[in-house]
Amino acid sequence: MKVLITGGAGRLGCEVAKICAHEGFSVRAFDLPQVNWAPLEAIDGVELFKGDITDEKNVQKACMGVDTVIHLAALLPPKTETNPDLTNRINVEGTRSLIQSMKHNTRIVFTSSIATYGVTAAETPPIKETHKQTAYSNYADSKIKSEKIVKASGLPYTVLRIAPISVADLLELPETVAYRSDQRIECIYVEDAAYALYACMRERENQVYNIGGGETWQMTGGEYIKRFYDALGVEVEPNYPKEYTAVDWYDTSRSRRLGYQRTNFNLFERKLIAIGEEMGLR
Amino acid sequence: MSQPLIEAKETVEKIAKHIEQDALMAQLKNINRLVEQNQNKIWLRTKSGKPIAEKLQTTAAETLEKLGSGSEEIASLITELEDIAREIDEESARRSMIVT
Repeated sequence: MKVLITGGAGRLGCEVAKICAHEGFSVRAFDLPQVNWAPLEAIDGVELFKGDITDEKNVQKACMGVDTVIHLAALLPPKTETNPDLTNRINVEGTRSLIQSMKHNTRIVFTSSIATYGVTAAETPPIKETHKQTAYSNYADSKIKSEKIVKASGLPYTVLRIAPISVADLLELPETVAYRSDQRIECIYVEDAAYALYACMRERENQVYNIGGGETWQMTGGEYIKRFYDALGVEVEPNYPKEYTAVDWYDTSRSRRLGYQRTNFNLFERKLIAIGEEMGLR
Repeated sequence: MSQPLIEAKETVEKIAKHIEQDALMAQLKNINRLVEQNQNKIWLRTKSGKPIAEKLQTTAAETLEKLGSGSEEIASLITELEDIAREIDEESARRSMIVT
């Protein structure tokens, strides 16, 4: 069975490729020629396909002989917020082009985002998959439009609305953190999100799932930043925004059966502690 | 703050006082812009970050020392400095916390 992973050279894409290859799938990773391919080159059984999602011919060629597509390729914030046209070309038209190139009955696993729920801080958590979607940003708008294209395609699909992804690595704080200190937030460990994407390939029915870390990852923005940098052994002075943003706690009771919530927050903290020690920060 | 980057920035400012060619001045301005953007990055204080920060500082110091020598050598050293500053900036971008 052959799986195409668009955006395959990114952090999440690499993790998905690793799992799929390990589980015996034939993997084709599709990404831009100029990105860092080194992590994928180290995985046995992964075919590297260098191309551009905005180029229809590249997309058609990438889809040849494929049984499942895991679609991750997208322009991400903050670039999306200053480049609406490019966001539309990559995120929306890229998805359309991909779907037009896929043969009948090929399953698409589409990565959407919890950002599509808009700002929900005034509501009672957790946010369910049935919550209305609001285009709070260019990025969210592009994901809402893409979800519609996927659902109307007639292809078998799973849409995953993924919470912000956490990686166990030293990350630099942005000038302004993406959420308020007192705001509810829930992230998910990158390997768990990758496993969810992999597990969706086995789904038989069309589904929309929230994908989040679960209860141990539900905290405030301030608590997350403090625990993240304390574990690394770094003192930081974060600058939080005044406005609430589109992150909250999510109802993942439906998606839990995919078996992806494997890393609780304490385990994530232990990984950060090890990294802090290795980097000489602790 | 990364002490080597701060020192590199001061040295680049000293170099700039002796440079007349527009193209080299533009490169020096770009180097200092990149240094300013990155001088507070945490990763530059780690075991893997310190060597590159120090490389920028030593290359800047070498450039300042060789100001009296041939212009080709100075141009080459400034280009090397700019490459190191870009490398630092790219690694900072790779380490930025993105929330989707």
